[in-house]
Amino acid sequence: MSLSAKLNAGFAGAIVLSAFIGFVSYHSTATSFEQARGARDSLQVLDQLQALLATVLEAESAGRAFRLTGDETFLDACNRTVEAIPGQLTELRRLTLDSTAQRAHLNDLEPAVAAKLAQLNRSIDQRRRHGFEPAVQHQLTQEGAATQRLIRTIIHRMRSEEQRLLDERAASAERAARRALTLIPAGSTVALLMITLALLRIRHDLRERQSADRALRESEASLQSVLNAATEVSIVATDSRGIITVFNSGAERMLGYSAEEMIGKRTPEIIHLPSELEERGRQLSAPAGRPIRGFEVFVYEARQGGHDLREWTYVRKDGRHVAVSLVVTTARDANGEISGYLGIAIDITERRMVAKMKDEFISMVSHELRTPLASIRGALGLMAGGVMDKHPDKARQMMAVAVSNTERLGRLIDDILEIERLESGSVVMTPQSRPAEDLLQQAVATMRPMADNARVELRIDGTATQVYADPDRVLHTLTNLIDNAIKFSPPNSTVTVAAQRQGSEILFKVQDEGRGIPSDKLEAVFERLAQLDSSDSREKGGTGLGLPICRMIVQQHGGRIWAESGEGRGTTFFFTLPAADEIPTAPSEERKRHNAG
Amino acid sequence: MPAKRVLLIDDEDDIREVARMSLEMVGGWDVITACSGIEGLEKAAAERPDAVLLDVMMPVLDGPSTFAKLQENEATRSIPVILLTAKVQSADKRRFAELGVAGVLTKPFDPMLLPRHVSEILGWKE
Repeated sequence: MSLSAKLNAGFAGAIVLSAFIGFVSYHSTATSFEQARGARDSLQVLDQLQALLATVLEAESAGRAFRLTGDETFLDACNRTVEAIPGQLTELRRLTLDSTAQRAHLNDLEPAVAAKLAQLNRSIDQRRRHGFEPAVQHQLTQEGAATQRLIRTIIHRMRSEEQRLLDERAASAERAARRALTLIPAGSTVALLMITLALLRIRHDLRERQSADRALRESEASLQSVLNAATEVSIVATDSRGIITVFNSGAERMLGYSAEEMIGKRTPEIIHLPSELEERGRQLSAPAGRPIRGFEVFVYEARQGGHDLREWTYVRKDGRHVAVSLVVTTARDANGEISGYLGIAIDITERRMVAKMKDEFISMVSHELRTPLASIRGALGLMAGGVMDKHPDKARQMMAVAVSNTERLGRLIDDILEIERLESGSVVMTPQSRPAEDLLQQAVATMRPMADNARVELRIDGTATQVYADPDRVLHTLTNLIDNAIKFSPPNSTVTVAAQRQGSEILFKVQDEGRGIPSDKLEAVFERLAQLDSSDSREKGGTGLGLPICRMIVQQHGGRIWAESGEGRGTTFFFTLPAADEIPTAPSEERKRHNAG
Repeated sequence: MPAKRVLLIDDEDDIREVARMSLEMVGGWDVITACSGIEGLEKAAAERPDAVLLDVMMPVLDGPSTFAKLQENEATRSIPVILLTAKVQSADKRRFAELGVAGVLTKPFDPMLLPRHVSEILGWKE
């Protein structure tokens, strides 16, 4: 039952009960009044009967005095007394109108009184006309006495009856008063109880409602927090007509619209590419047998049950496109009716880009592997086909092609595996403290034959400084960079390798005097297989993976690598590695030193 | 009937050499070579070969761009072009098919069969 219904029921009960108590009180009071009036009437009847009897006796007494004395004074007194009798009888009849029994008695009393008065008149008349005659008077007295007894008897009955009525009325009034005295406090108590219970119930319900409201507010706040915390996910909810009702911070961030601009004002159509919407609408319309367009395109599948997951292109407020994976589901009310829709989208631009890059890398690796393989296959195919049999010089040329391309293929495979190992993190760097100049000397010694072959001078410009790095990987990096520098150096030029302290790092550099790298390519040379756009590197037997490998090695040491160049000014590759004295000493090494000391 | 003259455009020296030997020694054709798209355009216009074998991945002017320029030039428009490529992904093949070239041959190729495959594509009788 709702709070309002409970309120109404509680107060209606209290009002009905109060009305009942009021009615009972009124009824009891009215009864008391009525009984009191009746009692007053009864007392008057009793008084009146007493007065009537006294009047009759007084008239009888005055008449008897006149008969005995003949004194007219008594007769006057008698007459005055008798005159009061009709009024007394009339008053008695009025007072006993509500009692059948009393009226019957009165019917008997009135003729008895009349008879008594007639006898009195006769005896007075007899005395006046014939004087005092004892025998006659005696007889008249006897008759008067009989009538008087009758009157006494009737009055006695009437008094008894009136007394009974009086008692009955008193008892009735007492009962009514007692009932009222019982019902009023009891009813009031019950009414108060009901009101109290209703109020308690209301207070309980109010508390429950307040608690539910608070829980709902907390739940809404929590939901809003979740929605807003999903900054990388666009969450857009609509009502059943498509009007946006929720537009979370992720949607704001992804689409550039504010929630205020969208909620209650727009449908999701505004954030979709119209051409995609039309195309999807056409796809849905055919099987549906009716045109599906506008907002229905997004929700048609979800309405059929389940959810609809597909890729779309969102259009930001600034017009830029965002590739998204959008899942649309329905929201249903307690009756299972669709009350709205929910669309959750994630930005898949990066995913698509990564997939595209992966495809491109595979494509390029495939191309790069197939290129030397094509030379090997072609050279060997020609020899195996016998066409070289009569051309030994060409056969040797083809053999050389096969050998050099086999070596190139080997280097390429090594580099691809190396870069994959570095990317996957399976290569563990084992840094050690080493003099930087030692590493430069080793790298130069390794590359010296190649430099001599290319008539390029290698020069070391090192300073005494300690580097903390994996020596094998540093040598790999240095030889890669020197290899590149020699390849792109003209004969009789110099390649300088150097290392110097710079703050907390050691700065290495490899400088050539070649033709340089265009400034817009300085960053791209570190991309995987960047050489594909430049036959220069391939011409020089490079795999296009050397510089990306160098970058990974340096980055895994926490360093940076970059190139500086200018057309015709040569190129300098720089990279940094941690200086040895900047690395906190490991406890074990400290212990070793302590023990050694 | 004079020998066919084929222009071979590829920036890879070794592949160019292998293909040249294949076309000359197995096919018995005259082969003109170019190491870049730009050089290829010049030689195509000057030599008017019967066909062009064109590498796809080349710096500066790649195979598709070279083909487009051959098509733009009245003098070279009618020369059939066959792409010779190490790009064998299905997306690449679809892209090449849409260019309007006479055919596509993939690397590595069998040098003993290369002239036959070219002839088949171009409808040449051996």
